[in-house]
Amino acid sequence: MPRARTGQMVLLVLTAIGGWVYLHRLGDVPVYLSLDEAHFAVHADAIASTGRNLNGDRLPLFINLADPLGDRPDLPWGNTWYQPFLFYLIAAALKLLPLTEASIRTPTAILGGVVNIVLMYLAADRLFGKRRIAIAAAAMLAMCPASVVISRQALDYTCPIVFILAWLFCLSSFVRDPRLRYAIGTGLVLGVGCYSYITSWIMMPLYLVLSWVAFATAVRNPIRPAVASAVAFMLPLLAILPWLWIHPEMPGNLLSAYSISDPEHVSAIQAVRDGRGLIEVARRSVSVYWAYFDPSFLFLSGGASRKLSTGQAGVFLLPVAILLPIGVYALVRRDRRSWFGLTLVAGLFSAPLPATLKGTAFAIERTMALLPFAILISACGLAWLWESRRTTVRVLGTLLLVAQPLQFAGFYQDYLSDYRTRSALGYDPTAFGEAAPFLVDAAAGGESPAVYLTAPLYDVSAKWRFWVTRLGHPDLLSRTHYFDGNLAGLGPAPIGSLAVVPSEDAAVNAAVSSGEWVLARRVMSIDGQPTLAILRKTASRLLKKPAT
Amino acid sequence: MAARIRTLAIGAVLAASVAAVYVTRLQFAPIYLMHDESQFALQAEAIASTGRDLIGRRLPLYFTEPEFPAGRDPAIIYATALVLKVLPLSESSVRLATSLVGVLNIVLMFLVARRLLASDLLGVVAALLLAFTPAHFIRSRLVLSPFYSIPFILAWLLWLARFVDTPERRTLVVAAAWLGLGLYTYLGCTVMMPVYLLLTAWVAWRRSARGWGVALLAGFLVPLVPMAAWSVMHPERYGQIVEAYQLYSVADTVRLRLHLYWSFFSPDFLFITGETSLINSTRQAGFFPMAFAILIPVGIYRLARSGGDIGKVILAGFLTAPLASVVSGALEMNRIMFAIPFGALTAAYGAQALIGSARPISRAGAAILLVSCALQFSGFYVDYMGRYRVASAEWFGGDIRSAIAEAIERGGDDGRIHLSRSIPFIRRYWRFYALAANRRDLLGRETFFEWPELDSPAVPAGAVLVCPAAEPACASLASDPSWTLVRSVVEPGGSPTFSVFEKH
Repeated sequence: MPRARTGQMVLLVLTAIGGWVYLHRLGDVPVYLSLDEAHFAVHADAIASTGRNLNGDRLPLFINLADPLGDRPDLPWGNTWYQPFLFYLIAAALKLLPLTEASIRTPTAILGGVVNIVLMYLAADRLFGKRRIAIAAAAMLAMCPASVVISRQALDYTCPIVFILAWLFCLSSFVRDPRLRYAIGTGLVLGVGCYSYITSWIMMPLYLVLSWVAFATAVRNPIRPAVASAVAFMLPLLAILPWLWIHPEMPGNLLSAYSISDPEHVSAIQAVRDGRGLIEVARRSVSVYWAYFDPSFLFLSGGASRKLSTGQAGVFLLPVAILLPIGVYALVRRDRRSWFGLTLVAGLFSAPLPATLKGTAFAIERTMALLPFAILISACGLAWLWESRRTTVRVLGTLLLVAQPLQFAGFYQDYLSDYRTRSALGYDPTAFGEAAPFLVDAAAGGESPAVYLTAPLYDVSAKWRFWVTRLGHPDLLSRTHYFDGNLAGLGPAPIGSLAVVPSEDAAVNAAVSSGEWVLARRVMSIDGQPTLAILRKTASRLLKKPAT
Repeated sequence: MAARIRTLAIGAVLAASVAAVYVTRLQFAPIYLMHDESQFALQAEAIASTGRDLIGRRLPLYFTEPEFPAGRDPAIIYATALVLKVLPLSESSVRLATSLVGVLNIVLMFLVARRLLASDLLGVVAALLLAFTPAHFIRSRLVLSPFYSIPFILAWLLWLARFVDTPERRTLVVAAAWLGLGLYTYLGCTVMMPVYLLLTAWVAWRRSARGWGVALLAGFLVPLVPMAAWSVMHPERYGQIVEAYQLYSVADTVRLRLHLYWSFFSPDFLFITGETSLINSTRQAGFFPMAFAILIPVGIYRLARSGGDIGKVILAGFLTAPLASVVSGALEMNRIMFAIPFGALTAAYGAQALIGSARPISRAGAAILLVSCALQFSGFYVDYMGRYRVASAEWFGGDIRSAIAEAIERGGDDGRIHLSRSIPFIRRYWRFYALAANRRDLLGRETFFEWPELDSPAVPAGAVLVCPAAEPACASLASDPSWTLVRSVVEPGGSPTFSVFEKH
């Protein structure tokens, strides 16, 4: 069989396995819908069914998360705006699939388990010119624990990877064969990629600059391809102009949101605004940046949030801890003056920049650009080992590659079993998914004139809308009210109304002993922890006046 | 002979110049004596005056205390005691020994670097790089034992360099002996000195020196005979060390240890603001000068590529510097002192690489970096003597010195001095400042009290009481007609810390 055919067969098998790994039990693991997933789901569903988002904007360029039937909190930064790419991807999926956890997660799972594998293979094949290295790179990317954990959620963190890989493919194609269409391709991919995730607005322009550097090494006159790529980059961004005309508040909302929405972390922007000294700003920024290369984080624990890591494996598998430095060494020694080495190393070390500006360490979701560059550099390391004249070194390379699926098997087994339970409350501390079916069933029966939900309670309104839509009772939204959790303040609540409150015994007991509420259901998370209490209104306080 | 005289002259000039900065104004900054410093000082004073430690043991090897049963390290105590044989007890005199060790380090660094880099000029550069290292300067003015490990490390490196040039067994013995002796300086050396011994063994093996194994072991173990004897006489010491440093948690997570190791090399810690504690850092300068952010990586590259065996030892020394901290599970300044000599040497190699480069821009860069070290140090020094001194007052326990001085002056010969136990480490401070005021007669006449126990009406007239100003019971004493507030001790920053009352 010709080598090309073999390579394609192996790629096919790899994507089949990757697709299965990333799609298997998608509705079941993670066990609960996180708050951001709920937002993506309900807005995408609205776009899929009506062509408008929940706020009535027709095919909006950016998505305002506010829900007119939701709790409508007053946020310090105004509106919350998300990038459109994943919303439309999920909307496309919902054109074919019913609204379920699995359906909304399918697009990102396919991106992670199939598309990224193919793109990595294509990019690596162009970069290295060796199919077995390309296959290895694709496999290593697919086996990144961070990729698995995050791609199996309906979140846009992994979306930029597609564009980064596509860009690298176009860029390496241009260097090989300097046709203008490849230069245009680099610009276009990066321009569209800006809409994939908020950090892309910083990273995609940076990659465009790296493209220009690569052009300068490939052709005598790099001006023409640079201009072509710049124009192609700007084209998709032109759509912002009319959008900003209609929504001029959006840039300010975004800047404020990413400056202050994490009260426990001070962003560099906020630190400068607060007038903190340059030394302090530099110290924080350097400290955060350094943390992203902490081997403990990269190869052992993968960060503190159980939504983004199992805690039993790092962002990458352990063998990458050896391959990555070897790859850096190989690039520095052999390719430091080439566009190839410069691009990969610059890509790797620039990946934490957005998270550094935000001021949060170990936030892998904001640094997913690390994955493709680290894997490509690791592939360099593998190539360097395999090219060695010493047999032991070549064997070492093979062992490091073979060790990865072995470790991955253990990681994946844990992911589908123990992780599912221990991470449950990390995804949704309220375990609202356990409450919602009962609530919908009880409310939809007609006996409940109103549903009262404590807000914000981890964006309960988005999750509630998801569940009522999923279970076919969107009418319940008009009967839903949001309150601060203080049941005593719900005096005039109609009899039969349902109220959902955090499951604190003292408050629930007080409500029940008042005689106005009965406990309809104690909601337990999958690991047996009480999270919410559903109460039903039994008697009005006014009727309790004794007859004279 | 001429070369030797020149070396001596350079060393002398270096020592004198550095001493003018390192050994002056010891009374002035740090602003107060930290509690650990006072305890080291008291042990040293006891040895100097009686030949016995605070619990009465004659010339002990380790100084056992209730707070630290494993015993304090001897080197700093005996060195300080030597000074106190000549000078009266005071904050500046107890710090003098340590500051002189700082000067010694710089001279030793000159000797090591001139041999390794084969240049007097580069030797001076390396010495100055060490002198300008903020962590080195700060710790040279604190009476704390970890700093004393540095001259032994430098002496070891000097003899190791000699051995590399001329592989003689006796040179190897002396090199190893410095490591053995270094174990008496600081407990963390029990982790690091064996590491350096292994590096020495590797160098000796590479040189195929005859009988190197025996020489190495003999050189290292002979100085440890007193320690071994002490351990036999005090077998509980090992368990106390494990308990004190929580070494039972060594089997704990690899993740934590790896994270700690990585955190040490964080550029913000090494080059920007240093440690969070204002005892060990001014927060306006890093552990090393900022120029080391370039000099060290260049130095690492130079050492790895062409540093030879000794270069690899220096590189290994720098990369293993956080090991003691990693083992104990916390990144503490005491346990990362080992990075100072290796960091400065690595930076010196970096300077050498840049100075020796064929490119004018590299040579210009070297000049700029070296000058920047001096400039940064001058700014650091001004800040150390000014803003830092005031800002760090609380970290050093506040002005208990003034409060005790007032109590001593008023407590006089008739009254009794009452000292609140809620003042941290009040026993140490009381003893130190009473001795420093030459009032040994007052020792034993003090009363340490807790507020519920204090029978205010029963306190005789003329008694003096010292308490923390922020304590409610202390503040309420001001409204008690039988007590008069005679002194409110206020920090330079303006906050009151201690109150002194007199009974009438």
